[in-house]
Amino acid sequence: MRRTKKAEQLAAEKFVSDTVARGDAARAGEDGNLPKGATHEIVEEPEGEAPKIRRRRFRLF
Amino acid sequence: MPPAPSSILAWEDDPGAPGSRRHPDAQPRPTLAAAPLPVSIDAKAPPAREFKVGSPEFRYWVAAEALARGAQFWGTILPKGTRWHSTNGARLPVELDEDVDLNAYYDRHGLHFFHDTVKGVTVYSGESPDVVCHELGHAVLDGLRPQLWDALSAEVAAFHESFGDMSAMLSGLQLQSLREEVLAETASRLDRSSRLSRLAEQLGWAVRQGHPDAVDRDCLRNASNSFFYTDPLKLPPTAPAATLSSEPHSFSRVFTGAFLNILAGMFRLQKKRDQAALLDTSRDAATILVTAIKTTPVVPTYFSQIATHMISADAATFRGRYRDALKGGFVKHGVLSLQAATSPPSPAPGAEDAPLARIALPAAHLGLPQELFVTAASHPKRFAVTGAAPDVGGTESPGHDDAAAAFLEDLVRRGEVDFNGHAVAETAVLAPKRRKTHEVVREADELVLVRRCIDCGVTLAP
Repeated sequence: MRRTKKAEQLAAEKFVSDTVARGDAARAGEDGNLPKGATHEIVEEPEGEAPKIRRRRFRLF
Repeated sequence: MPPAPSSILAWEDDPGAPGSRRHPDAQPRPTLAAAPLPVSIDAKAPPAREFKVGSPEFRYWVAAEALARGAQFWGTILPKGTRWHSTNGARLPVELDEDVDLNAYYDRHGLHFFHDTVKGVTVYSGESPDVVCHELGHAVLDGLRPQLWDALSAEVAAFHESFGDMSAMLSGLQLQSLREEVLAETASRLDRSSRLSRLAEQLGWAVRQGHPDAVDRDCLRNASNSFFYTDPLKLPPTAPAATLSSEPHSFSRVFTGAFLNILAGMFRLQKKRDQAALLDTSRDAATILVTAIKTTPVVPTYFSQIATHMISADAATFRGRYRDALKGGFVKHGVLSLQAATSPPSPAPGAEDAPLARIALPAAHLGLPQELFVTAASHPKRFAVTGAAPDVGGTESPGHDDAAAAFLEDLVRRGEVDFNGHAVAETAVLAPKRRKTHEVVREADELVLVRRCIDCGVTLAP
């Protein structure tokens, strides 16, 4: 059964929310590097909305 | 007289947790520059000699051997023309010891390994071929399917992690010595816990000293597991290693667990079950995996999509030779529902009269050509109690027909039903399990499920 568009958005929102909640998303430092352990960079934080993130790397665990 | 080929010493899969008595094996000097997936280590290569365990030169050759082995393996499996993601450059850069950390990364600019000291033991993530081949797997998958890199989906992210673990297992199986050890350790039942299923035992030990519930109790992640698919929307963002969460490494264990079952099922189908057959199995499994990845759309429900495409890839490449192993593994871990794993060959016939305690269940999704009669627990309930729901409160109390259907489905998922040739082979999930507790028998015109025996114990191996 194909998910509706709304369900796909829900999946993306949940992914962002979980990534932020775990501390896996962070703003890059002045040198452009992410803190140790982070996999995603927070690239935008629109007011009243979930942050926009993009993957920078995968880690072992 | 030509000089003798230089050899180095390297671990097969992992140094092992402190106290383990592993010895490195002699291996020919690895070649890192070989096409189509050349690798470049950011350090001067020491002379190719058998260095002492614990020396930087030894660690260099361990990593180089694992990198070359993994890259060579995937290079023969990937479609022609597959290269590293362009931001890595023509050669995949590798930094063997970048900083202090108990981790390793792939970031589209190469692989990065670290070290840390725990309880007096310095652990180098780049010294574990398991870890090296996991990270290499990320880079391989990124070259093959770059669209997976930034998809905001728990299942897609988890599949990337699972591919890393599968890469570690499959790369390990390219070593004859490891194949022989794993066959001996598991008595040829590959879905048992073994050095094949246990990823990164040493690093797992190190992490466990500081975070006892963050990793499995015998390694970082063990593919020999019984995790069952749950919609990641309904999972918490984190959880102890013993349970499932939507965190990609945690959730990846569902797919990796299914893959180990599939590998075991595929191996059981080989005529000779020896180390050479295991090598063939590993290559066939990788071929099916890569073929599916190339064609699977990137959707939130990625696990089931990949699984279906793997079954399709097997049909196209191996004429369905491994169909039952694939279906069995995926259904056992819930990656595919029974309904998804089977396509009804024809509409189920209408219901027939049955005795009071015997009910007819639709069975097209089991691959049966007609309904299946089962003996239902049809006595009236005495107390209005239910089991606990996974979130809060109680589950809905099913009617006896629903309970029977659920029980039947669970039996088939666990591979407990012998269909005795009544199922349509193209659609049924015929799990290659030796001992079955139930069987389908024909009584007049009806197919009936009867119990054959009672299995006293947990299902650890077929």
